[in-house]
Amino acid sequence: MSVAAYPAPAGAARTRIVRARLREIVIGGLLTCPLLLFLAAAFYYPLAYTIGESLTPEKGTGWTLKNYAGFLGSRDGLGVLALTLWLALAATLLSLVLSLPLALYLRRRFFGRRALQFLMMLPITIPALVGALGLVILYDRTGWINVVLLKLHVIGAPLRIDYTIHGLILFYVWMFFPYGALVIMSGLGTIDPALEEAGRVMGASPFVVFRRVLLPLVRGSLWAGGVMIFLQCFGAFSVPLLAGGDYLPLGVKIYRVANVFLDWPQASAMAVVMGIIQAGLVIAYQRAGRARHLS
Amino acid sequence: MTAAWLRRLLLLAFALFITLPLVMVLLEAFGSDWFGTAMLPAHWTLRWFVWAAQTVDLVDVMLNTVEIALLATVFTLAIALPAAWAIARYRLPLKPVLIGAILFPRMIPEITFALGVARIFYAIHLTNTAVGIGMAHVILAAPFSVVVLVSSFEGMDPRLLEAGAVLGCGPLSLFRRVTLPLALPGIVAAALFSFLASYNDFVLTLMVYGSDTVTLPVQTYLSLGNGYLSVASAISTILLVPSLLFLLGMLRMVNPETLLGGLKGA
Repeated sequence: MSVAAYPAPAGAARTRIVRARLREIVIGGLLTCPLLLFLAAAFYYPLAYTIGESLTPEKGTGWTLKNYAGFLGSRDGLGVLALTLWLALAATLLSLVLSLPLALYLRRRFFGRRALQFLMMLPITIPALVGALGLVILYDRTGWINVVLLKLHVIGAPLRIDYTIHGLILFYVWMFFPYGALVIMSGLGTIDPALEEAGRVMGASPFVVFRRVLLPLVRGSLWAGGVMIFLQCFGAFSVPLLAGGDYLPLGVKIYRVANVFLDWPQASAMAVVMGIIQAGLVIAYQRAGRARHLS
Repeated sequence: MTAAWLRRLLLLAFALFITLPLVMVLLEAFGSDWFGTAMLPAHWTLRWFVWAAQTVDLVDVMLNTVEIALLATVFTLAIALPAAWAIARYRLPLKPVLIGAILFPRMIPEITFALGVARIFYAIHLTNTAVGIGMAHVILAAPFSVVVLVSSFEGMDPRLLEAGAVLGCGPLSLFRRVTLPLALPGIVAAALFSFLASYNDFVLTLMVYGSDTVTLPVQTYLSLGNGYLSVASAISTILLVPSLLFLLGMLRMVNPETLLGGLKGA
């Protein structure tokens, strides 16, 4: 309506507008050019090379799907994939169980709240390698955890935590739960406190308020935090490298196959599968998020 | 009363759960003769730092790490600043595709593209050079820097720029007196993130380092592989310093949630 009220620009005015628009596109293109060229050369080209290499035989030339068959068609390969997914899933669920009460508690103001937030950021700010090193020392057979539990007579013999599946899950939780906790915290921050008050005024117990009011509102950020944690666990490298023992999830397995066995085509095929799974999860999650927003 | 104490006890347990692994690294780094079921080392010492300096050229390793991180930071800013400015201030065709292409490196695991980077960089003699490793780190630092910078540039009020121009600023002094001061916090944040991403990086570096370009994370891993737990802990202690400073500084200024996208473990 309002557009029709004005005559469309014509002649010289139109040329000027078109020129200004063109100039904007050209200058904008030039400004983004260095970054795009860099990523094309240092990221997309190597990635394409890896995909290409995954489709070639280890010796000789030509194209083959043998590397994918060797990974996805073998017990060993499927075992690696299953281990990676299981570790990530278990660690994600445990992290959420730890994050939700923590995030709820951190909503109130109390002495030391800032310090706790600082602590929560520690595992994801420091280099993963240092965290992994500390975890391995702490949960060693002669580490503090075992020594204290033995002294308190909670256990009779030292627990084996390092280099076990349970240990790995625990270490993943230590390293990656903050991603979930922070997302849930910011989700809780957007909830209008009046809703909770209303629930309580109407006579609901704290638990019922949590279940009927808070949980439905925070479900979105639980999902978002869960996906964040899962992706981090799925791509984990330093923790399983130091603390995995015989358990080699995908990231470490790829490194071993490439750097120890020098079977680059096989490692490439595994890397491509890993990349597709992770990128697929990210895209599926973003789609789901958009659909929720629209509905 | 008991409920309050229970809560405090849980919080204490949580604090210990988080901090104890780092305490162990420090005990291992500054202690000696720590055997068996002893809770603390028998002696306190700086021996492992000295040992690291003598046997693995700790000083060289530190200088390598800082040099690579500075290279990565400068290079990241050089290419991310103009791109972020264009994305924030210009109407460009295919902008979602453009942003997707820039962010994609953060969507796949580091090891996935580290393989290809190792192959290509090796072929063109960029492995075992500070420039090469710095460039590899730019892949990690650039996407998030663009995100930080775009949001900082978008938050600028265009009326301030107009006001500057109306009041007689030339393009250069407009940039110096209005644009730069407004953009500076975003630029500093992007620079800090880039530095830290490079300084802390382990996976990519492991694939492209060489004997002349060992960095602190790689040396930690190598020392562990050689069985020197205490030396590895001493190197880790030095490795920790920038992250802790960064965390302390950032927590004074911003909400932790806003830091999320830039930190990535592996």
